[in-house]
Amino acid sequence: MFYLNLFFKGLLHRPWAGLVWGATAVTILFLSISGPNVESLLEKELVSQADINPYFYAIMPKKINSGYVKRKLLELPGVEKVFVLSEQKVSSQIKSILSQASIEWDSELLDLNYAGIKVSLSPDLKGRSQYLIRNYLTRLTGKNEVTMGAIKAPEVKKVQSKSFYSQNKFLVITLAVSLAYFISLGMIYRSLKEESFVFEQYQRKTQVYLKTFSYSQTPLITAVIFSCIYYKLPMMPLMAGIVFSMAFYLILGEKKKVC
Amino acid sequence: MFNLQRDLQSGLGSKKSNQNRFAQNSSMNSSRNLGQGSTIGPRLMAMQDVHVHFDGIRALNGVDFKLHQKEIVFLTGASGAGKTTFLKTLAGIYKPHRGKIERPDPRHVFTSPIFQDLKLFNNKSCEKNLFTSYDASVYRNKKEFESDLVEICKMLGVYDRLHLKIKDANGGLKQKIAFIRTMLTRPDIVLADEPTAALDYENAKRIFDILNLYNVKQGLSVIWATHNKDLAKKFTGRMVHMDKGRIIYSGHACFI
Repeated sequence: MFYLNLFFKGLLHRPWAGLVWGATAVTILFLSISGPNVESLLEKELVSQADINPYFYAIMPKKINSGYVKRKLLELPGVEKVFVLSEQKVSSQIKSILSQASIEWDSELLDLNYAGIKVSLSPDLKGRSQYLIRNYLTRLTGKNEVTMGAIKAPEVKKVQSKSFYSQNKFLVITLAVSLAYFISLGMIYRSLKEESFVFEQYQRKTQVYLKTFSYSQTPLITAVIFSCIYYKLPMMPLMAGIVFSMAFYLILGEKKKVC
Repeated sequence: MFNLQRDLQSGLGSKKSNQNRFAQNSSMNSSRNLGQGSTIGPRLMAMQDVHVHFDGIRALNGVDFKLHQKEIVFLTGASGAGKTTFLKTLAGIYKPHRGKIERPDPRHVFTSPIFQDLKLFNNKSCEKNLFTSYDASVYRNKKEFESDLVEICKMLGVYDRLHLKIKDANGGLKQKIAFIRTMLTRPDIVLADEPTAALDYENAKRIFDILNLYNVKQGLSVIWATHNKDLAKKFTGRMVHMDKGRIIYSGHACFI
């Protein structure tokens, strides 16, 4: 406990080093638990739920309270999310539709005083239910007041990149984390050695640096070793990186003369 | 712990038989009488033909030295004579390139240094710096340590300044804190490298008196490197004079 206390108190006295080490340690633990699955987790995070669901746009005059329409629509089963679009987005959307329809128009004369909403529906919603939701929106706003787009169900396309990163994503992540760990240890080892030296001189303790370093890093190395046993080959670079960093700073710390 | 204040006021007079904590060294040299009038004990440390050099400069050049229990040795010499290297080699911080060093078992005989650069934590308060010497294997509890701390701090007149951070403290206060930290370790040997360099004569004398008291009461051995000739001249014990990495005199102070 004395050695762990010494380590964490030392980190508190060096906030930047402590922050870097803490962030790296959390990342290593996260990687050890999730293993190579972190790749798929990262991909899922990049695609939001709203982009996967079928959706349609609707525009209506600004005089209709879009907040009220949103609230009412969200009460319906099958409606996942309703986004009120910004004025700029609505006008740009209308302009793009008009240009696609090859309609000649004068931008000065065009009245773009519209509010827009994007209604995101449940993925497994049947056609009949979709029709009822759209019908309800018509009744809410008035038949002649609302214009609705078609329901779109976007497919999430995986763009296969041929870069080294995309092909060896996990390897790159583990190497980056190992490098961050190496740097974070570099930020703390010197002051840790100095403090250890003082404790060795003024308390009846020996090899304080070695013990402090070992005790504080043991949870990380244990997690990585277990992860390596479970996930096997993909975790090897991370383990190699951490073992190398630890050995490097242990030897350097033992050789470093404080006075 | 004994009452420092009371003992100092009574003039270091009450010598009681010291408990022999150095049983393992009983086979070493027999006791002899030297200097302070107190009987010195068995040998604790020894150097034999020790050579230390840094980048071709010979810092220690064939040094022979012995330190006995209850002995106070004044180490003098000009700057660069090798006093600091001598103390650090004796403490085990520097390894000799040649020669033999005999040290006691650290589990039984604890050596505590006072460094010239003090080695205090600048961002910590004086009190927290002193607490770095709290060792649960030495004190029964923290209260015992704190009572020792309060007593010795009051003796040196630093008790009301313990909240100050080291970076805000003056040189004299820093030196006193470094000294107190060493004494709080309850050492058997103190290797003091100019522990009073930033102090006036009165304060230096007070520190010397405290060391003397520990020497008499607890059998403390001290090697005190100093430039303070006034203090050294008043001392009647052994004096070691160094020059160019060699010990050129070892004997009574009055003959130097």
